Amino acid sequence: MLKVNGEPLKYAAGMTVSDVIQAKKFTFPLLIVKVDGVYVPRESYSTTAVPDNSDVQVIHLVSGG
Amino acid sequence: MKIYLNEIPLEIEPEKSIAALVSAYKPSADVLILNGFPVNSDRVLKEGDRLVLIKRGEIPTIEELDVLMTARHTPGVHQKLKSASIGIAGCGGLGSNIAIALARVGVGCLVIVDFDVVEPSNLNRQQYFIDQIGMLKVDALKINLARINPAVKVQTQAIRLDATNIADVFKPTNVIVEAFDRADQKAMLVDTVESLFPDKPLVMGVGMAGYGGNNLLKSRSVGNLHVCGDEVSEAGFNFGLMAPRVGVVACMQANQVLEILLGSDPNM
Repeated sequence: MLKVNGEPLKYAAGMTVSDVIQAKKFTFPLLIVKVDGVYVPRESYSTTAVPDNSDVQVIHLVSGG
Repeated sequence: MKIYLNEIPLEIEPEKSIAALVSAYKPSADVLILNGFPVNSDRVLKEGDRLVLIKRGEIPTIEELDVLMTARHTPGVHQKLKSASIGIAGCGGLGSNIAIALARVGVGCLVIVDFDVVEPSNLNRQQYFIDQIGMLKVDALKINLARINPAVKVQTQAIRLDATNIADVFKPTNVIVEAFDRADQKAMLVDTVESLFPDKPLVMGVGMAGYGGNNLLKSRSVGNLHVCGDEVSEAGFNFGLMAPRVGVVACMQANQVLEILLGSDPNM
């Protein structure tokens, strides 16, 4: 089990950041992702593994400011 | 015992009252501020007390200005802010408000960056005036900041920030504030800062369209990254950007900068 923004998500072997994003169906396309406090560049989402028990923080980026 | 009168250390006898000092040093003073808070009744001073005496309407000298302007600060805060340099990426709804808030509390230096000019539709949320329409935002903002607090050093760059120039512009700063409008620009900034300066605090503003919804606005921190806003209210058709809600997020960002520079406030 891992945590995504504090909520549990079932772990699957070989899970990547892309898999987590798909599973959680985030509303907006541009995101900030940190896995156990480490920033994941967006071009690495499909190749960065998310370990079991990790703490994943995902923040939307929306226009306006 | 030692107290501070308008920031100048002064040895006085114990049990001396505020009224006695007013009488001796500034009989015309009608605003008395003790340790950051106004007093309107007399009291005896204690060791280390900081007293500021102001006469309403009197225009101070440049030297006096710094002391008088920070009289309401929590004691000790101003010294720490004076040595800080803050970078602000974007001088629009967020950036202009953030710059003004930080200038008022007296940060040492602001590096403000924006390629754009002031136009009338900015004025519903951005800190510019009608006589500044057409001016470069960084020039107009620099003028406004000087009118508020001339002690703040303001460096301007009228450029479009991208992955190739962010390092040079923001390397000397202690904290970077993201104040862009477009989501792709916010993404570019966070990607670049996390790659070049992963330990440098970055304070972003995300989700502030519309009106009301105060309780949806929040602050979230993950390591060096701090995000203020509701994270979902995207400006778009039928969902505008207006001074009150944008201003709340901007001040949350400025407030977050203070917490980064000063640590948590022990009063809270």
